[in-house]
Amino acid sequence: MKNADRKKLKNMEAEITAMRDIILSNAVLFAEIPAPTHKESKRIQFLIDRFQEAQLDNISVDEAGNGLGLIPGTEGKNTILMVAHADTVMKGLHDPVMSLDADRITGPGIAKNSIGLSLLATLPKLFERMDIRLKDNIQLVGVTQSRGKGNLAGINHFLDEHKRVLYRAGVCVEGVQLGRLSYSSIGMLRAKIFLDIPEDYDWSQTGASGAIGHMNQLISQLRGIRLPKEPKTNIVFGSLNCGTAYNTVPLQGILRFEIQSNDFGVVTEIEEEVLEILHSMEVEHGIQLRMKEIARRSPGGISFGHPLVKTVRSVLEALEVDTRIDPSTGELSALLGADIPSVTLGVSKGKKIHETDEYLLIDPICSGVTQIVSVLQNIDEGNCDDRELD
Amino acid sequence: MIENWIKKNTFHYSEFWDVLELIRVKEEKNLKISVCIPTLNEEKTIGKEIVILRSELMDRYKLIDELVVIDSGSTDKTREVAESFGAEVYLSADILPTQGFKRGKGENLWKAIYQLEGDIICYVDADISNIHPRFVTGLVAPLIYRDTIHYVKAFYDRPITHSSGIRSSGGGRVTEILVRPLFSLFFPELTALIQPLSGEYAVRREVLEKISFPIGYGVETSHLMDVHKKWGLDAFAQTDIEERVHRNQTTNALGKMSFGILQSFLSRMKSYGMVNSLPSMETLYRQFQVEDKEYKQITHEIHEVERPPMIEIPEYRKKFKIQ
Repeated sequence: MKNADRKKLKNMEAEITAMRDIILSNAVLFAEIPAPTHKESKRIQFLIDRFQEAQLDNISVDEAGNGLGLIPGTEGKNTILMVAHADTVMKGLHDPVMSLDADRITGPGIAKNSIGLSLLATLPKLFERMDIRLKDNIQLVGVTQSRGKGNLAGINHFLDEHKRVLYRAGVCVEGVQLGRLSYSSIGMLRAKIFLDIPEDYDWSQTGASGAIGHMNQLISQLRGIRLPKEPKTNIVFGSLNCGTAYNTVPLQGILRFEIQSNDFGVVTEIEEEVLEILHSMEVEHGIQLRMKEIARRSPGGISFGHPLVKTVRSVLEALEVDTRIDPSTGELSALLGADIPSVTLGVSKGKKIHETDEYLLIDPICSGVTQIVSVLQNIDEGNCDDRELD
Repeated sequence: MIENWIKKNTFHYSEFWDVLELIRVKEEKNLKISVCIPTLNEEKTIGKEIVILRSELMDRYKLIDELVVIDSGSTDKTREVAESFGAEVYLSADILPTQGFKRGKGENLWKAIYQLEGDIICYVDADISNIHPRFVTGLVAPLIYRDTIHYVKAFYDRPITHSSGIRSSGGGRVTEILVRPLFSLFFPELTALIQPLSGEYAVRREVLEKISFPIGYGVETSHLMDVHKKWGLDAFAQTDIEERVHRNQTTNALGKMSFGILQSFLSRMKSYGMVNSLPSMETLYRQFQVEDKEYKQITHEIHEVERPPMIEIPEYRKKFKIQ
């Protein structure tokens, strides 16, 4: 990136810093509206209110509950898609309350993904104040049913409804981490394994055990599955629920896990091995094991050398932010599956994600927003195209 | 009278959703609105209050003309945090130095009248965790729209809804155990206020400058008594702000608060000439319940009949052979 462009970016960052509190305020207001997956309507309504205040075009809530608004371009020949998921992983919290200190915002869902949704809501105001007028339209979508069991139903519905539109590019906004650059999606199988000890279980057999002992054995066997180095493959053990008290042997357990690989064939092979392990344990120990698929994704993506990826890398470099390549299983995989050249970008830095004391640092937010505005401008200027547009 | 007042002067914040219309009328009437946040060691919540109120009501909408923090001398980072988010911050001791400095929330509220420029001053406590623009819009709107209203109180606690759909409503423990019984006995009209001790209220300058301010816990109670005496019940309004999340006070702290309120209450009774000639005591105790968002006062007839000492009863004296 040229020095003049770097200076332009730094000036833009200073302008955005002056408007930082609007972004923070929106993030807090979004985060304090509970929005577990499938129950995002109040949060989406707030997004729609913001779109109406900004007098966007084509404001609507679609059948999947997604909130839509269009920033019209001066020419409007092409449309850029910008999405942020509206649902938050909630641990039974009905009324999340955020706290705001000098350096951070703390509270459940602030990083994933209230700050992303805040950026959708604030973008029209930022453009207005910075006098930015793009030639392309920007289609803003707050998507529902993204996390866990939602299985990307919101974005898939949107893409299905708009399959005739040729989007120039897509930008997915995630709260964390700034510097994250996702341009490919990995093949994935997300599943739950239910373990039940039946009433007629033989407690006198060798190796008889409660659900915890059998879960331990199951996890050991799953960890023993040989994973190839290439293509890159991984089994992620996400959560384990088993037992309720100190002195009662549990009879049930649930294991949540994901198989991830750049080759979906490998995901399928590992899935078969998992099913084999479950079957052999059932026969050997007289227990019941059942696997339930929650979500499945195909791998895909654009290349490291794609003009969109190159642009993001150079913008991050100019902002002195370290780039971290990170494949995605989120909205990006749906956009890439629909053949829209897309990236997922992070807004700030934060930790304790999905915990009640999840936090997001305030200082990096302005760099994160500058990054996204600059990428949108680059797409608009034609710097990220690798195909002919009608 | 009270039922009628509740119907006319009790609002819900959502009635004032159209902030642009609010601003239009405010400008038409040439009103200036100030928000004052009194603080003492509120570093945990002050930043969020500043960010939300400034960005929503000064930046996005131009409803508030000034937002000021008046601090009693916090020893934590309250002033630093407030300033870092762009608030105007004053030490209470630096305002009107000729009048000296006394530590207490009422002192900050009183000095705000001198320091702030607004025709309407909206006071917002600094310990609200779920701050939202409604805490200001809901309180200033009745003053903007209705010239006869001078003093608007917030109410917000949402006790458990019962299966019948009817729930009791009202204030916190000090309100229900101390203030409401006192008002029921001596100032029944003031029981119309669902939450007399709430720390959020918006008031016209011409009222604030004419009433005195206890510097401690009694400030809200004495305001209500004085404004009621000078301007009557119709000067008041109240707005349902719905939920307010804040720190829960210990019983000891509530005891101190009650002591301060009683001091202010009794000193008002004395200055109104009511101590040596107590009015006949009311026997109706007034509480609130809500049904389908409608607030209703419910009254209980309570007669505290007294029995004499047993020793004065002839049968008793006879039985125990007392001469």
